[in-house]
Amino acid sequence: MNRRSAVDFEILDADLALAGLPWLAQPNALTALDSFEQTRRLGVRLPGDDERAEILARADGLLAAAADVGALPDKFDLRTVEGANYLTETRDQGACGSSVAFGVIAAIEGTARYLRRVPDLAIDLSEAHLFYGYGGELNLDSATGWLPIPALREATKGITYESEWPYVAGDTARTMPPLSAQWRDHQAIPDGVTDVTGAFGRIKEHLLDYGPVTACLEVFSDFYAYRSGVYQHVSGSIQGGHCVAIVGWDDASGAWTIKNSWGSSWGQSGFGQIKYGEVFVDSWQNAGVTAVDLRTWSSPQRVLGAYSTGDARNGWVYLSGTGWLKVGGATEPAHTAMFTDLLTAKNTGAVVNAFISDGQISRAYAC
Amino acid sequence: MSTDCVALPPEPDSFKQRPPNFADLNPTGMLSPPSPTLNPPGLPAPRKYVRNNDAAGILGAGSAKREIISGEQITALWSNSANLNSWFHLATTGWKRADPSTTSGCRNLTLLAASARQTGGAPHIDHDASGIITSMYVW
Repeated sequence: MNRRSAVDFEILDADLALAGLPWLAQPNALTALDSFEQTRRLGVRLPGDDERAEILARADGLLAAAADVGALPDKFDLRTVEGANYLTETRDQGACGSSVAFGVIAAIEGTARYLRRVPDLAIDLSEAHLFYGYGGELNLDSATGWLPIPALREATKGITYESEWPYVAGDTARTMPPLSAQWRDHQAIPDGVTDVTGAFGRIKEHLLDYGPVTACLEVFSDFYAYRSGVYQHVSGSIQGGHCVAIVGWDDASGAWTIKNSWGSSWGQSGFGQIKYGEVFVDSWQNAGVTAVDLRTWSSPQRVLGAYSTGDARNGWVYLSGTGWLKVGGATEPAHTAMFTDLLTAKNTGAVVNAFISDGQISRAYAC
Repeated sequence: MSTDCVALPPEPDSFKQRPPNFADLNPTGMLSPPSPTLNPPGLPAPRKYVRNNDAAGILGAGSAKREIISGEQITALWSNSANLNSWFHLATTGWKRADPSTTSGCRNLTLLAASARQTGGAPHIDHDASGIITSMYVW
């Protein structure tokens, strides 16, 4: 077994120079690992011959269609939408082929924030629940990897928060204590899984309208050493398949912006750019969700606004860390009681804890 | 009762319940109440990118002619013993009536107006052609 790093910087730098220096390579935590440990940080099985042929056909169509996409911004980045960053922090999957869980959770978390236009929405979902929980039930593990579309469909059953099932690299399904029964009251439920694979314009539209999109890619050894610039494969051998989240694009650079799960030493604090059409980033498996319902007690928050129409039980409040929520109430007096409590909290600057489900407040403490 | 500040609003005897606006009906025929389309000042707008075919979604439900009053303080409140008869006096626009279509809706609008009156805030108000306040934001 080769125990050296798969990255040889001398060769890589020479190959980059030959290619006109499209991107910069630099040592990082990944390149310090040996090749066995490096491939453990992936998580998507490479396609077979038939699937590969399909992907290649999609990739050809994608590049041809790219020129036809109009009426969209030349540049978009979910980290800088009019100065607001809707993405959660980059994470490190560690020594486990769980990248699909990280790509999928990044898409769900980003969508939850972006749809609400609440950059600080408290959402840190459990990659372990998705990979070791739902994936484990399907007999998936670090060796088998996964694919984002089936993982997204599993996620629609509900993903609990990181605090309920913290991620620890390694197949922890058998060693972790079972989830507490209360996790159902502490979960996010994505909906509207949308497959935009190989549809250049639809990937962009999904980013613009809903949030991040998952992407699978072929990883060559040079990718481990990526630091900045627009990545394209220039050197090294194929290592395996990987999953990331696409979080933006830049037509001037001809590249997608991606969020990786290899910690902050890779790329620019865990983010990078990949050239359109490169390493199957936009033709293998791209998908996102169109809604993310939260079912949880909120953190203590202030009421920043209130709204109502003349319709029955249609009072809303804007909580500082969650955004607009409809005030629930099975009866009109119940609705009015909660609306009054929350409006009073707004006027007095009081802190509110609310139980949120289906976009509604069903219980509220204002103190 | 002192009426020095503003003239009282008209009695509501002639008020007629407005018929439902069929443009507000969703495909199942159920009324779909609007949701907020503004965010508190200083925060990102709920939606920023308007598609050519998505104007209705941005503007919120309903296609009836509406007018917006923003930045005016509420200077007086008025109600009497008639059912669902709640009026608010805006600093320059004058008396407007809370939508009396439903009990909880009228009650909510009254609570919002009372809140704005109490805090001195200037609500964002939509009213229809007959001067009925159909929605209100307070910040």
